[in-house]
Amino acid sequence: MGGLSKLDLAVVFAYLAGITAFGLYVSRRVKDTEGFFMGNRRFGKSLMVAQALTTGTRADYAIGVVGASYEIGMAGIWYQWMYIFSTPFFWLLSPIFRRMRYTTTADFFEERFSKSLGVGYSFFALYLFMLWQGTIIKGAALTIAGITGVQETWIIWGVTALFVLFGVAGGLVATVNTDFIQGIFIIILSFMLIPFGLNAVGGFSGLHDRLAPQMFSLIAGTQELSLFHVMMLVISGLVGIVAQPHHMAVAGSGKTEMNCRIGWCYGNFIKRLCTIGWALTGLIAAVLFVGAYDHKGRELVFGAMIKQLLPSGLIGLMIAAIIGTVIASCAAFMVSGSALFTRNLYKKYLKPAAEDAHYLLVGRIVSAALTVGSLLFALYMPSVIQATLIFVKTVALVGVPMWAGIVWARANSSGAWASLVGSTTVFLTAWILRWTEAWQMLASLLVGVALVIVVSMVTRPEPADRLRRFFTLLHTPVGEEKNLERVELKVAAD
Amino acid sequence: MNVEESKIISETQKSSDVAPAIPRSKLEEEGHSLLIVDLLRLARTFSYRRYRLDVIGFLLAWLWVVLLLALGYWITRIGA
Repeated sequence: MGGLSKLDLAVVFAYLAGITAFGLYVSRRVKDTEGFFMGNRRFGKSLMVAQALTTGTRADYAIGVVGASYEIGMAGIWYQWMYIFSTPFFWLLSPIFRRMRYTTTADFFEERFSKSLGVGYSFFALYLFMLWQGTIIKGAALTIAGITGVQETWIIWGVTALFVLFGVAGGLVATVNTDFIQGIFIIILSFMLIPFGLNAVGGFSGLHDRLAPQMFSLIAGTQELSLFHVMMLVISGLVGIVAQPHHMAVAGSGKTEMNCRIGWCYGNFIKRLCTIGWALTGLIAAVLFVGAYDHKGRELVFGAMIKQLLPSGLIGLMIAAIIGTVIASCAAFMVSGSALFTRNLYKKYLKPAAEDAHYLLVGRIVSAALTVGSLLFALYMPSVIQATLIFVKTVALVGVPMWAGIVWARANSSGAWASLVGSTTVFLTAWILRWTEAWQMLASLLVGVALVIVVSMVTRPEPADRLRRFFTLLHTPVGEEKNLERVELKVAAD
Repeated sequence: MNVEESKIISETQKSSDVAPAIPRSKLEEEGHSLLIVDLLRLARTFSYRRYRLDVIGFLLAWLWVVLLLALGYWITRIGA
């Protein structure tokens, strides 16, 4: 391959062979859908940390933050640090996800509100999974193509084949077990370029000598990322965090509530630490590649740094790390997406009484089909940062009724639908009218909150039995399942 | 139904106008109650003992946020 030495190639192939073999090996332990989708809810603290870190830390995030920091300075960090103020809430939210004992977020909408909302959410989530997977693949392919000179399309197909093989064969167990390895690689990915880069620019003092002081400001003040914009990203991030489709598995698959808390919260804190490394890498790139890339091309700078700074062998390791994060993240999204379709659409409305093996087969077929959809997204994707922003903004609209359903028993299906339709309408209208992104987010969220409250108040509450089931789950910690039996509540085996 | 169970059910009825019958949870009484789930009735139900895990973990997590922000700021000042 152009641009790669024999040593680099050996590192890449050794890594890929090893990780694939490991995935296939652990897949032999997957016997049923609960194992495939939720890892039988038996993950310990370290596996939960690894899962939270790797499913939430992707090569395209690094590519986006490095590119943004290259152009606007340290403030580019906020494209990922938008979640830093949400992270403490992960400590509070993870036991909620665990106590719900649901497999997918669509289960929540169906059990708490109505079947129609469950179906609606399922389709929304499938769209999000494909969008996200497409973004991940695109980002990784751009970087690797920049390093190797191999045609981007070939890289897209190659990486996709790997994570399909990995995810379809092994489900969540295979994905999470390899996340230990991926986690190590992500940290390497974040920090490997820094020492080489600092050496090339004359250390930190060299950075300060050659960059304007505002490039070092964490306070966003640029036209691209104003303080108001950052504030709205932070708020939207917090609102939408509950409704991200893979979080039911990421936050709820721990053996105990404490495992879920530590895993989701501190796995994400490690990610926030990595983000500092990405932003610093962007600053170094701003010195090394002055004026080399414009706004549209800035996300190529990550690949350019790898090619220029790293010695032979480490370039291969970096490519392996990027592919590793793509495999881990995409496999997790693919498995979560197939869980949504299989359990919330296929099993309930198409074939309710089949053997578990049949649903497992359907889950695997759907996983592959979702991947085809994500490939199509990859072909028409805007920049990585733009795709991230689209995700944050749209998922927040779904987060409003979900928060309402958890904290307010009076919230009902009519209110949730009104909130979704109303906030989406406002969001699209504001987008057509070319309001700034911050105002789009503020207006749509305010309308969403107002509608879920007002419409719920003027329409009938959900049936008492539905609410009793839902809130009994939330008030029954893991380990006290006997209480559920007392009120004749059946849940998936813990 | 014991007295404590009736009390929780009654509180839930007041706050929501509906009647979820919530069984008594020993773990919840010993610190595993969830702040977000009880958010709208915390004024009546809050005690450190009941929400111990949430309170301690939440405050510790905010400490990590402050440390990360400080680390980010400190890195921008090296060599200035």
